[in-house]
Amino acid sequence: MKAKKLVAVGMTVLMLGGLFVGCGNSADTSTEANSGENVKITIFQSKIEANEGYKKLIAAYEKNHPNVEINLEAVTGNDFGASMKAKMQSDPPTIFSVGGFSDMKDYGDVIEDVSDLDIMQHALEGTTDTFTKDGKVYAVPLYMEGYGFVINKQMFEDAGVSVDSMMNFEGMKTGFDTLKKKIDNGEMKDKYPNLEAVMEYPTKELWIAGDHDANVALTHDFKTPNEAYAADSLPGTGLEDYKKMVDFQASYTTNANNTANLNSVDYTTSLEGGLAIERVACIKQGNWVAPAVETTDPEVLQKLDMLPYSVPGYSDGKYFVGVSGYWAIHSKATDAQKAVAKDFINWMFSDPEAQKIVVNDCKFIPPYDNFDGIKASDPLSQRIMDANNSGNTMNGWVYSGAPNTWSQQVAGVEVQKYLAGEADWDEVTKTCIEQWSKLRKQQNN
Amino acid sequence: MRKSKLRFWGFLAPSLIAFCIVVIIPTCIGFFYSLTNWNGIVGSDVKFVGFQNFIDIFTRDDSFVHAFLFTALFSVCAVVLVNLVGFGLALLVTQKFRGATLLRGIFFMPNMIGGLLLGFTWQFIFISIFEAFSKKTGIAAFSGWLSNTETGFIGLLILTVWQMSGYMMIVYIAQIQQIPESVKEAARIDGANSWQLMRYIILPLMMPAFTIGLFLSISSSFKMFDQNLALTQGGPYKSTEMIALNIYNSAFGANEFGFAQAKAIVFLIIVAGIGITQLVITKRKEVEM
Repeated sequence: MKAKKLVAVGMTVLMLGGLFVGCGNSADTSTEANSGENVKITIFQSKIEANEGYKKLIAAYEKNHPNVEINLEAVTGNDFGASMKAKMQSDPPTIFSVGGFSDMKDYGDVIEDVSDLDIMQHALEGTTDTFTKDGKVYAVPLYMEGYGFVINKQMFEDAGVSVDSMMNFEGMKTGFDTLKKKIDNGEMKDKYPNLEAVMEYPTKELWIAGDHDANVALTHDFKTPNEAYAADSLPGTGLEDYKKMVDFQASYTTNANNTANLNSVDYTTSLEGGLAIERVACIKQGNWVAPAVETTDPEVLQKLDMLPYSVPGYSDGKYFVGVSGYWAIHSKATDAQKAVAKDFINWMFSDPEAQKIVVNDCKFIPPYDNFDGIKASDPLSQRIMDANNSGNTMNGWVYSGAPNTWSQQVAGVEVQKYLAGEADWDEVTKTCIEQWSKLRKQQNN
Repeated sequence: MRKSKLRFWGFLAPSLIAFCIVVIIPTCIGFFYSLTNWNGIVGSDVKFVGFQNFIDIFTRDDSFVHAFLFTALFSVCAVVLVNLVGFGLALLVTQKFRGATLLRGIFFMPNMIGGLLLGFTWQFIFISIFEAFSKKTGIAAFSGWLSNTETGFIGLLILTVWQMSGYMMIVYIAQIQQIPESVKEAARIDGANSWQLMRYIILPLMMPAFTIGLFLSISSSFKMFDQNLALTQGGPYKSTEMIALNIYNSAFGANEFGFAQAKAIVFLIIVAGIGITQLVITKRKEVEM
């Protein structure tokens, strides 16, 4: 009996030993790789729409670096978090997508300091805030997105309103009123038989009434997501502007007299069933709507333009912009792998050929200042790029620093109540402020 | 003696082990997590918080209580309607007429479609088709569906009845066909009219099927999740959020697995209590032939 046990223990030790030896061996081979032989890295990313673009980038890079092999794996956004947890345990990737504060918290131990990358000198201000800790940057910003009022330029021009006149709140209001009058008395009917209203406001989607509209309120109190993330309570000085913009949008919809109905309008109805078929002239959205409009009707896409998210006397002429995707480098990868990963990222944002692929095939708005002279692939992205260059932007992702679930489940839900007449704005204000502190306290526990 | 004991455990072991692995052990682990503040990420810090989660369910906000009341009201309406319609359909398709078998298939069909798909299909009907209908005819009642609590509730009810009645119909058909012709014939010879035949012969003999039908419809309407998620997502303003969705949101929306687990345990106790009570009551009403 005892002998058997001994054998078992012996076997276990042997096997464990084998494991360690295995690791040692692979470490050896990669040191050899260091001296000029083949290096293999893996990219694990969540932006499935950009996968074809990435493939082009990789092909171009591998052509110039024959000893490098880059493996690309993609999982869609919704399943990405869970997949990455599994991937990290089985076969850790060299480069991987990260998003917000929770990733910084969860993966803080395994992400490499990337402050010394050449390209980081070109990073636009504020684009690295979320992943900055003690003055060091831990993730590379990949692309920006921005939102404002996406309009059908053609319709406004046909109604005698120029786009340039609507670059601030007063101008936008005058323009919208003019178009509304013309729709109501039937003047637009001939040219746009589908046209029903100036705007659609799909508050069934909590991220539209919550995240993006609430962001305006938050920027009054916090300049960056980091400030919001650090705040135990919400001063709430911007909530009046939040109301102003909710009322503004609701008042130009077909349900202006019965705003409760807006709570059953969804994103698709406003986009593929609204803006893209010329049923409405405007929705508050970002440059990410371009592909969907193009699929529905490419001609409509060419008529689109984006107005700033102008809050009277506050953000006149400003677009709300932010980084929504980052790449991090795994700190436990071999030195050779890390070097290749860094070189690849530097190359894709600085080489002129690569830059073109980034803008035209990945369809990114690059968060860097060295992309002069490259035109975006659609008019909406072009607006955001121009705004970046001229500095007409405000941080559109401050809400990502709010307590988890606050922006949708508190702010978004309260706006739904407000539109349905279940709560007045004072109650909305009170709940938003109270729940911020409450959630923050729970989540810091 | 020794041998028979061995045989007893030997035969029991496979199913006992399986039962332990998939039911008993997860339940225990779940109960353990309900006493902690676990956030659902493997390897993160887990702190023991005692019964705080259970207290929080009722003190933090009224969302769980609201979801429970909404679910209870919904279940009462759904159980009554599903079983009435199911029984009605069963009576209809057991009559002898051309196409009866075809109708059985058609009525059962909705049950074969997944809840998510049905939810999205009906969402389209309620929002787009109803709206268009309302515009054409000017009937205001068809406008703004799912934008308030009442229409959200009725919408869920219509969807559930449409989906589950066919299944109940099958259960009731099986029982109706079990009732021997001789009993019905004897009653008719004794002068029973068709109402009396229904009330004193068919209904009592149907009781075993009602036990099953009620149990299935009660438990499935209490636990309803995908239809709720697809049709209303609990909106507007969380007013049509049912318990299962409420738990899901706590777990996967707010990443509070411990808290969600505590809710799930309270939910389990409530559903088990209601289910067992119903079984005991209807079992008593069953008659032997």
